Amino acid sequence: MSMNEHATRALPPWMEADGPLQDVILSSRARLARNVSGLHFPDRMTQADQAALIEQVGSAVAKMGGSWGYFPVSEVAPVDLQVLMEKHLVSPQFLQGELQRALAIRQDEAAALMVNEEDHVRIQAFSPGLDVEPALATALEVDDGLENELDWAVDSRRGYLTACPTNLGTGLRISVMAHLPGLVLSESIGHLLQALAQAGVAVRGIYGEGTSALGELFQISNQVTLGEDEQALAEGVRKVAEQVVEQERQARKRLAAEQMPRIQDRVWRAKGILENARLLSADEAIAQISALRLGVEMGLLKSPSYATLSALQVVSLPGFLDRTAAQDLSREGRLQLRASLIRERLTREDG
Amino acid sequence: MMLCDDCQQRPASVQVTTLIGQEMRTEHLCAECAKERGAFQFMGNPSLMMHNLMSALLGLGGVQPTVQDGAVCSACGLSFHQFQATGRLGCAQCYEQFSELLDPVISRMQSGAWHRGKLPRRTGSRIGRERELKELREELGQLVLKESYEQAAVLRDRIRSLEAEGGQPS
Repeated sequence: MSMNEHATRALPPWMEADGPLQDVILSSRARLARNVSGLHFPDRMTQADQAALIEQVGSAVAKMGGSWGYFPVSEVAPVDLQVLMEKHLVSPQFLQGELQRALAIRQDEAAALMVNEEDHVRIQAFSPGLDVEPALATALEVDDGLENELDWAVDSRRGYLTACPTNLGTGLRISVMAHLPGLVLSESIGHLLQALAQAGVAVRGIYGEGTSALGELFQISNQVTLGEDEQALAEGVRKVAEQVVEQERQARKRLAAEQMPRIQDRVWRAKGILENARLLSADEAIAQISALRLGVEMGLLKSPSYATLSALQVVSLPGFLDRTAAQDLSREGRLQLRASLIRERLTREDG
Repeated sequence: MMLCDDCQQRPASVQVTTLIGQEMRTEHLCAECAKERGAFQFMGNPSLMMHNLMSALLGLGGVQPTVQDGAVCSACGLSFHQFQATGRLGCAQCYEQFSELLDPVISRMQSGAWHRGKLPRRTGSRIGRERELKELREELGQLVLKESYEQAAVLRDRIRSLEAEGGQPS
């Protein structure tokens, strides 16, 4: 796939299929941090070393199995990078980086890597629903491929050496994206989040940090990276996520039993707005897509599919809109294009 | 009078601004609703949370800045103070050079001080298997003396697997 396709396609191909527990968990991700032996970490690398590393990783990627595209950031338009970030293929920190950087994306977008982010190489792999083991297996497979060409910095006691000691050892961060409207609406999310923090997992809102969790979307991930092996870390996050799924389903059942008219109104109102609005802000779109998703998750609506719901989310974000319009849109222009793209996607599915 | 965006009943007294992508979203909330939202306030960027935890541990972990004031990594030139400010080390050697300061913090922040899990199949030229085995055997001896049997068991397994690999071409 060319960069043009990666930047204009809202839905990653791997998201077209549904995964386990898709009614609460949107997707699972595994991330590995790696550094090349004998080179300073990115913060203290020379310009020449940065460029050399980009070459080196590029040739390692070329020798790997599977169909990969490799892109030095200097050759990627800023708006394309923004879209890749909105699709979670690169991190926000990667966009802000000042070093010479590069990125690689596998054809199906289920695996990607960044060169010269906080560490020399950050590998990411994704799978739909709550399915952390396949994501981990893919990430480790990419690591195996790179390892044939690159000597990773490692010591027997500390494992893989990372720029920040919080990633030391396995370099592995497993995370899942959870949709928790039942717990938010029934006001029991606060307790759950506190319990999760004590269970050693980190939780944060996907859209908007600190004071709000727009769209009722949360990311749950492991905190510890050293002292347990990759499988144990993945299993830990999966088990916590399974409990969260159970709690969320119970909360939805209670809401259905006690407040059905309120839920129905919320869901149908969202459907009406998304199918008819002519101007939509990002926060309104995210909030209404969340309500529409709840309708599908609770069986109140038969469509759209989970895949379309995920595509709507990407379509709502500013980078994707600017890229689609092929210009920096005014605020008004974005509101209009967002509403029209969402309407189009929803009608396409109906027909 | 402006009403709270959440409950639409009480007067708004707090302004909350959130950044979504490049768009700013401003909400006006009453004290009650703002307090409810407060449940989310401990959430943040996970790496940032770990970074804060690490900073706290570095401050409390018996680290004596006066003694170690001049600590600088001879391989990359990073000072320990710079690390404390950014949370990032400069090179792989930093782990050895600052080990007295870092190791206690790492073992408290992480689930132990010993890596279990994947290692590269093809060990780099810098760490020959023989050298690694020698180091591990020494460390194992020390752990047994200290009666740290759980860590010793991890090490013993690593030594066995390295010894087993020794019989095969690498």
